[in-house]
Amino acid sequence: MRAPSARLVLFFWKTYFFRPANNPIPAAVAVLLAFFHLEGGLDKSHIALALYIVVAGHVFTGHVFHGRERAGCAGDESPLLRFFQALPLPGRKVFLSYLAASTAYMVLVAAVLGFLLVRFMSLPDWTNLEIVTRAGPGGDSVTVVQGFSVSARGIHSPASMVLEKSILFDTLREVGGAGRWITAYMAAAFLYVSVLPIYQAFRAPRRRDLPAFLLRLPFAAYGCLGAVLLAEVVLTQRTMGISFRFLAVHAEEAALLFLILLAATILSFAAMSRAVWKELGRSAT
Amino acid sequence: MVEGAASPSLAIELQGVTKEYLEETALWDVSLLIGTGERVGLVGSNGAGKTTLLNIVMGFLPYDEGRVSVLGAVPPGLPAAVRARIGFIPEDSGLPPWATLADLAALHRSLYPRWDSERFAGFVAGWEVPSERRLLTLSKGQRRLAELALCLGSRPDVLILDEPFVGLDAVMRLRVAETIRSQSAADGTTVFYSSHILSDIEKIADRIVIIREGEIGLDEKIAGMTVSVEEAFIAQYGLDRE
Repeated sequence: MRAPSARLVLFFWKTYFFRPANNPIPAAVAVLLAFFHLEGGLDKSHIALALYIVVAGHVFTGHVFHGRERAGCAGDESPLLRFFQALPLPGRKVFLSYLAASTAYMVLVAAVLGFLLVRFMSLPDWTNLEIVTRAGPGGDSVTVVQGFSVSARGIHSPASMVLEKSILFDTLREVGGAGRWITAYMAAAFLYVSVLPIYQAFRAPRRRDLPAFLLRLPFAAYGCLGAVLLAEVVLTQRTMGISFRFLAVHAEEAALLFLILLAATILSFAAMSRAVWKELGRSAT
Repeated sequence: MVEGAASPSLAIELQGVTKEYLEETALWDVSLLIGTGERVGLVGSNGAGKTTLLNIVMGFLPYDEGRVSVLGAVPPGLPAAVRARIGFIPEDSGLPPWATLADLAALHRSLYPRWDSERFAGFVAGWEVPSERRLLTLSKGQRRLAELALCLGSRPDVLILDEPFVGLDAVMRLRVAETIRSQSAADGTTVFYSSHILSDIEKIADRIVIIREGEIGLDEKIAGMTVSVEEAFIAQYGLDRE
């Protein structure tokens, strides 16, 4: 018989991280990479985006002990937490098993993506990167990163590169009305997962506390940003809306914004983990 | 056992337990002795302190004053070996929604030394609970039955159930109540459970405890009561029969 902790690690892997119905991110990334490969070769920006999706998506899905809808609900007597507390295992061992499963999952996915990066493309010449400002369309100055990735239309954000080439968005554009509805649904879903936790923070009296509300803000910011970008696709029927162009032009500010959001999300995740750790401390010894 | 009666072994013991939240007293000087093999039903209105009491017994909540003992160990921080002898069901379904019942049975088999696969399979088949579907796709009643099957499959010495019949239809309530009662009688399992529904109490319990505003109002053997459980409840809460 395996040690209980090893058994728990396998349990989290099998039922949570590698079951596509629960965690579609690895499957979605695999499909996206397959698309790009079939369209004419993987680009390093694709890999960068895939890594970003995996990292941000992993954190965004919320803490496993609280479930997706309870992301950010620190110590709110989650029934799921009660299930793990009732197991005949020291609670902190449960938490460490989850962390081990989570870390191993991330390492494995990163290793696969790293292998693809080395196997299918030449590594970028990082020493040649140069940020320059030059005249853009209509006489505006445009900031670009030379030597990194340049799309056919001169847009330099990795995210917009992907959308530019994506079969998915081309298809959405071609199917017209149906595409609009699909994209509208995606935008609504983004808003739902981002705004719902904030609503939950204030729904019940016991949850009406500032820390819980603040912990939810990074999730909300991600969701709202995604919803705005997708809404633009709906409204303009173009693969790149004003925001994408804005992001491309103001690449440095956009990068800073994304870094701040990512840092805030990781901090929020750490705060949730601390609350769970404290709560599980009252489990078996 | 009712306080004062002699018993060689106690499964659960609470002496003068008080628990306060920020603005209110949830439990006040609660004392309760439950002997091995007893089946005790805990009744009370919303907010009376039932869930708080059960969570303290399980070691999920710290208490401010008093003494608590479960199978000889003092919560919170029950040893894993003691925890393995306790079956618990929270008020809201606590099973991981992303897992299947088969996944959880495999996990329980590796964690509970007395896990009985045959017994578990019997419950799952008898109650017709799908074991290969993710729990989030099951109905509320099916999830409850899944929790009960896992709980009883580990052959616990003590069963602590918070509103165990939530989501079950009338037929299933009767079947589950009968199962819990017969398993308890056969294995000598102590059952301590809460319910809002008075008729559910009599299906399993030999003894009723009525809690009101955090204090024990009545603690009696059902067989020795001169009035029905319902009448006792009405009297405790000072309700008008009409």
